[in-house]
Amino acid sequence: MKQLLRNLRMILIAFLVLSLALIVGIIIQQQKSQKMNWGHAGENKLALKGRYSEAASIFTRDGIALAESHGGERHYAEDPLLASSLLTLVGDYTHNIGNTLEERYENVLTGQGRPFWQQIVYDFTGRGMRGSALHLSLDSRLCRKAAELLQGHKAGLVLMDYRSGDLLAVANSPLLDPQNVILWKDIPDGALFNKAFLGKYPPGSTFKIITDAAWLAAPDYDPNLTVQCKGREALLGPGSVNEDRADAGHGLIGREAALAHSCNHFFGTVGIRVGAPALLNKARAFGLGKELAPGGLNCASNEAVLPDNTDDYLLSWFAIGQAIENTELSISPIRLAMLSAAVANGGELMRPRLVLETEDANGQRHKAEQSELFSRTGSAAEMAVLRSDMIVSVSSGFARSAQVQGEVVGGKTGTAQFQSPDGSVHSHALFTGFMQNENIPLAIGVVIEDEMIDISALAGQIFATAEGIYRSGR
Amino acid sequence: MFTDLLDYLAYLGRYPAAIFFLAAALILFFRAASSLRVRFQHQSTPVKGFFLIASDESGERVQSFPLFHTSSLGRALSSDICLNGRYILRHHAQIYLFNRRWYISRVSADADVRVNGRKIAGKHLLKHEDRILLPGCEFTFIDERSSAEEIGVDFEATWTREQELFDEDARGSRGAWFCFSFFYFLIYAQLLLLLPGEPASLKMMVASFGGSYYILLFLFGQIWSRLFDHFDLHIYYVLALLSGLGLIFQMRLSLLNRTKPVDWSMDRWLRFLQSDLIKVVIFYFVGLALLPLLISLISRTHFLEKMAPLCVVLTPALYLVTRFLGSDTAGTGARLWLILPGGFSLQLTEFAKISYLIVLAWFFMIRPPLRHQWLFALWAGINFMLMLWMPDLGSMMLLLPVTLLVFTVMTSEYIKTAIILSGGIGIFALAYRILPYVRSRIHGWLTLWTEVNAQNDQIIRGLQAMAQGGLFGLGLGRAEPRAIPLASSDMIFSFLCEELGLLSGIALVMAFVVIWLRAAYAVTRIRDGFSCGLILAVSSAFFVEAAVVIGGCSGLIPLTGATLPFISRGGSSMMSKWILAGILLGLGNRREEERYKSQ
Repeated sequence: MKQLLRNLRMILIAFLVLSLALIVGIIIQQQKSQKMNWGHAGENKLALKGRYSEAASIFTRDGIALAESHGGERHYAEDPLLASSLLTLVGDYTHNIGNTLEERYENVLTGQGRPFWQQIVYDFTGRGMRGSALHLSLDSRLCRKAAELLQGHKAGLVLMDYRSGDLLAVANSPLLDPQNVILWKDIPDGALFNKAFLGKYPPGSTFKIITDAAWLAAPDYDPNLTVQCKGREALLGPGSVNEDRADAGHGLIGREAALAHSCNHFFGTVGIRVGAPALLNKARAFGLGKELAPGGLNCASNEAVLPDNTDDYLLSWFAIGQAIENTELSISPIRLAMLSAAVANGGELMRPRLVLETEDANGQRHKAEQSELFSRTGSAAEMAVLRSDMIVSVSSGFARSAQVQGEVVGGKTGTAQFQSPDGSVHSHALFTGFMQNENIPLAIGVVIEDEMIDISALAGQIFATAEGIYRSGR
Repeated sequence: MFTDLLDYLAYLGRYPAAIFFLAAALILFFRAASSLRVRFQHQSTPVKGFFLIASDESGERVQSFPLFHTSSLGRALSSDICLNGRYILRHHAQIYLFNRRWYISRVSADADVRVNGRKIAGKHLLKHEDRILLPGCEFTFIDERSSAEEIGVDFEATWTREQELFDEDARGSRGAWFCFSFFYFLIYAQLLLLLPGEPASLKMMVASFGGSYYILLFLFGQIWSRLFDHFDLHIYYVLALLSGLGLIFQMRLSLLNRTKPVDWSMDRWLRFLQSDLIKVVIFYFVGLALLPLLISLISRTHFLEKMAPLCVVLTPALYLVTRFLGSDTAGTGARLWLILPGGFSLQLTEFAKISYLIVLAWFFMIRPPLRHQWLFALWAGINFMLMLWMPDLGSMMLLLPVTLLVFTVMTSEYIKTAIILSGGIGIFALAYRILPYVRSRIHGWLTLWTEVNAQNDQIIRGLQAMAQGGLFGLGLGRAEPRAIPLASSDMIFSFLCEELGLLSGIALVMAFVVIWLRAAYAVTRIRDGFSCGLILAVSSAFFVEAAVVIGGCSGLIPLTGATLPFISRGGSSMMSKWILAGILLGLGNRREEERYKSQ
């Protein structure tokens, strides 16, 4: 007996230790998997479908549902144009597209991850199955207009309120129905990419706003500085900055006209005078290279970097927004909008925000992103000069099409050349601008890929639509 | 609106369901642990008034030895009464108390044991002043009962203590039955609330299956506990808990989250659902109905002992038949299913496990000599090689530890245990080297937290489901079973944790521990080696199989194709578990006195 009991005791201890290890192991594994992110490949699409079948809605500021659940299904904006255009921002429940509201706010929308006791209270008051709705800064009418204008192009657009930083419209194209992403079929090239936030385009002449701002802030700033524009003749010898649009050149040209006509000789010269550190500092002040995540959605960093051995040759190209050799320079529609927003707002660049409030299961609203200063780009006086330069650019420069009747509009166009894999040279069209109005404080950034079109006209139409909406009472 | 309300009630039911499930498991666990502790104490205390007196060569009484409920005699240091002598075996004889009577039996067939000069072969009833002769030793058995009663020692109390302990246990575990009943009705009601009103026939079927199963469980428990003196209610309650949960869950998996194929008519779809439901439910009812027959057969006959020699041949034969005629219907890489006419399939390896366990207990019912141990090792080795050949790693992961455990407890051969353990590790190392299927499983497990690949995708789905469930789960019917491959069979634990929560998962582990604790209790009470060995083997098989599934689903060990007893879907597996349950309850109910009479 003694022996049997001893053996049994031994095995009993082993079993109890094993059972305890099993229980502790299960708890640890569960906790670990709750925190684990297996990424897109590891997500369970069917489980996600079930989870989102009761998730809360995502609303625009004018009350249009961009995503909502009913009948055990998740539905996206009723207006197909709106749903398609905002797909890369709102996302879909399968998380086939990353960096979207559906993905980032999964727990908020589905009501998961609440503190234990809070969940119990919610459950026993009949609200446990509800998540929190999101109220965005977007205006569905402006988003729709933007989508309409971008239809047929490969493009990204951001319209923001420069006073508050609210993103009023975001649009991307090519357009793609969310159902195609859910079913993963017929997906056009580039349709899953949020160009508005994640685009990395050479800024081209839009960068001249930064060069201009750096020049205005330079210790040796000379308001009367004029430069002899030599047209196609290179500024610093073969291969350096030249003017490809005016054979004869702009002649002797000052700052204001230089911005209006986007004179490369002037800004190449000014860039050299300002120097690399001042140019880079100013670029950073306008937000380039600074982390940006409106609504928790990551934006491209769009760094502005010059190599240590930068010479005048590199610097002059950099000053006109062309990154050559080892320089890094890129911009996205959202950062383009921020350029104009900073200028229009007197040098105070507000942090772009997308999610204004969350509305919990009790119907209580909670502030999400605050309106806050993101960066100071220069003194009010400097910005006033720059603003005036940009207004001239629209009133009498290349960006004339951005004009809106009865409104003061400033802006700057840009063209960014790039070489395709087959060696041919193509161009992206860029525009950044603002509408100078106390009640309608709008700034826009738009890029149309691989097309040479009058992009400022598109901005003008958005401004006009916004003006109509504002005037009729938001 | 009304549907929403019903959904919400079903959702809220997750809290009390998890709490009652855990409470039932906890009550059973603590009662089982406490009764085993008392049992150990009881068995470790010498019985008052009974002892052996050793005499020297001149017949002089020189030393007295107290007697325990079971006392072993032999040369081994672990013996209760250690003896020296040229012809004394390490484990020579045992004296034990059963049903108020003392018996002596040989441990080994080679042992020379004489009582009053007559050599004994089987068990021998001892009387006061019987002379027990072992080679070189002589003892006198002393029964002081009559003289002790004269001086006022209450022997009756000692005799009845055992039955009292048993009755106390049964009374104490009734709370577990109430908790189980609440739990069962909660999940049963949740399922009924979630089923669509139309067609009503499906709802009626579920209502009648669920209701009648509970009534049967209740009635059988009441009847058997009265019919059989030592019917183990603890184990029965655990079976009720597991099978009740399994039934509701399998009905839920059969009816909810199913999508009608677009080209099927409603009638065809309904017929399909009904037939699927019946396929699942039938095994619970047949198994439960089989239980009394098995208990009676096993507790009152030597059917299993007689079957053992046949099982020696049957076990490898079942593996061979499966190897040559089996198909891989589940797409897991193992050809374990025999396709029968009418679309049915049969997994003979599930029954081979039972057969293996019977042979295991038969070999080790008395400590076998080395020659027999080698014979068993050869036989077991052949079976394990056949399992590797199939490949059926799930059976290997179950039977190897069980073999080791039974061998250790029944023989106390610790060095050989270590050798078997090394052999087991060697077999797995060999499997890893020669079987790509095993290698890929291990690779999937090792890369679980670093990448998603085809080998670990299933475990990751399971872990994500467990993570979603949290403590109380999402509620019955609120998770998506199609999101986890094999959610109704191999991965059911993950799905169960998703819908009923981690607390229920923990309760499930405890339920299997209770089976083992009660088996250990039965082992201390039952005298014959075959019953002890088989009880240990069966209870350990339940626990190890559950641990393999739970560990696999939660990524603690590599995933193998095993089923969670009484909960996973699978007719062969379910029937084999009911047979094992019948064996467990039947053996626990054996009455030695009747056995000796029949002998």
